[in-house]
Amino acid sequence: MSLALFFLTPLATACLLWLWRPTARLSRQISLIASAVLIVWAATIVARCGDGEVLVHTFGNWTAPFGVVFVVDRLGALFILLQTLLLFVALVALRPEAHGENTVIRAHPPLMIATFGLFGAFMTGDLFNLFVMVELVLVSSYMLIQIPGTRRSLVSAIPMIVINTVASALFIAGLGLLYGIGGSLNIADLITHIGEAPGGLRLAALGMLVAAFATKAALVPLCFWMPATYPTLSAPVAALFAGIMTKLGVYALLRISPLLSHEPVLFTTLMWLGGFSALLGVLAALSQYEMRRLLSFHSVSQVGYIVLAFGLQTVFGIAAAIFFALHHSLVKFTLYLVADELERANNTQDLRQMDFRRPGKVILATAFGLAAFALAGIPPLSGFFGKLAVFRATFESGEWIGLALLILASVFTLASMLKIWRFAFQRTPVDGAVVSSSASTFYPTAVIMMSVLIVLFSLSAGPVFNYAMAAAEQLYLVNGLPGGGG
Amino acid sequence: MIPVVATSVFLLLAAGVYLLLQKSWLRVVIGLGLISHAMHLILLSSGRPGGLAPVLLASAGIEGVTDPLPQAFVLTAIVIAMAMTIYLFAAMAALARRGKRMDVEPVPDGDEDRETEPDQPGLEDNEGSGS
Repeated sequence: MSLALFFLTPLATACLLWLWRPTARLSRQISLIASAVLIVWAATIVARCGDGEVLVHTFGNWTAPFGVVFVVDRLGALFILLQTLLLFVALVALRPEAHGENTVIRAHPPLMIATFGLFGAFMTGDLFNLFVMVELVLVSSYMLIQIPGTRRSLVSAIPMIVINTVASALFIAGLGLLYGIGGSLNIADLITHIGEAPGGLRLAALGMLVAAFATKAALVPLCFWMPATYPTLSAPVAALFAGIMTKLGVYALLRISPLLSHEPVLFTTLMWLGGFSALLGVLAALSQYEMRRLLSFHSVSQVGYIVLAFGLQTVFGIAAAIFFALHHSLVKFTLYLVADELERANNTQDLRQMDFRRPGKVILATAFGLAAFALAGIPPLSGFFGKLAVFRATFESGEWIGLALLILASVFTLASMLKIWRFAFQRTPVDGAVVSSSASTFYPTAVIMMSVLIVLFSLSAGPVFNYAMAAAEQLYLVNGLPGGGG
Repeated sequence: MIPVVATSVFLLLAAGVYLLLQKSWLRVVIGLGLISHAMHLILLSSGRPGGLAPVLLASAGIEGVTDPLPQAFVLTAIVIAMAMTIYLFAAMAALARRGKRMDVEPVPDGDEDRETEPDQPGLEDNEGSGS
């Protein structure tokens, strides 16, 4: 019961905001309260799942293979908590004073709908529901893209929608084949039946699902919609997208990994895709001068790490992938928030035109340094533990080329972070550049909140990793996922 | 039945991919619709006659019933595809209203258009004045 209520809260908030149309300030307060409640709620879910309990909600009391089930295990709980945290901070960062009243009023309901869709995707025990929820997230992201109302947002949205729709079509076709051979789309049910299915069709069905999820996660040959769209969004929304929406594809891959284990070739493909994403993404990032574009190519690279660890097909590798996904969400979110403040202070996204001499510089530089070091994997921070786990998993599997790709990518990650640092924070003013000291005010709350979160996450890396390890084990323990037995 | 469905899927997919590779966005969107429907046919055909209807137990001994579940799936998927197509057509309309040709063009990078075209109201205002 409480699971369904939790799931419906963001939808109810969105409906309230749409029907009532309060002022920007009021709608901000409503959304903040709702997301604060969701954080506490999600924390209790994480705590309950921590004992190995699997929360199940059957809609209308129809038992598992017949009715729609929601199943929350450790993996789902972690991602739900992550989403609530990032939503809260994004709402804090999205200010009427900074981003305009209209942006705030228009952005809140789709953000809540996106949250609703993400919760659904993280909770569902059924592949068709996963499809519907992914589409819901995409539709709300299309709404969010149009909020700035510039020509660029319009022109860049269309390719993104076209590519994602093709991916959705692949998803549908994969579901069709899977239903044809497995007789069910309930994940737990499929896990028990997929072994008997004919090999060729199974490979085709799972291959289509993997291609669809790889597009949503933006792996290298399929990634180009992302760097084209993220710079056009309003910045806190882009931060939320970069933080969690690419992880939706990763989550879907993790969720179907017990099915994929019948087709090891898909794991191998994903591993190579991940390795090349890690390297090519960061190389593409190095060549960019637009800050958010640089950061979104970085996401391609970091998702590559996650998918490579996932593709090793070991429980430790999957645990490393989960941990790295959490770490990357927090860090990339922070970097986007810093990029937002820099953009508003400089009135441009172009690093070459940035000239940062404004109040709040110290806080911003500290937050950026913290996040950049975490991303690059400097020891006391979370990135170090994430990379250590990924490297160790790769090392243990004896994938030397993959390991070499990752280490190279790490070096370039540091280089690209130094590039931002040099242009945005360290540059002495050139030829008396025009400093429009106009109304660029600095709102440090969100950035400080995220810095604290990164430090906390780094300090609790051990327990979190244990949780991720337990989640990975639970994922493979088929009997731990009820809903299949009926 | 299966050969008919397979041929339809093939034709729809071929036409869809051809249109998807055209220069005009309008054709791309129509191609997308065709591809989506080809996939819907695949999903629909997974409930082939002789499949297991989930609400009927095998012991009930009722023969020749088509599985209703894929039909429910396809209904949902069609609605989603329709919503996406409508959104894309609305985007086309907004492009046309701004006097742009509806051709595939590279996404402009840099935020030059922010200065040249400062937050043009576009769709939203027209709708606002109408209501």
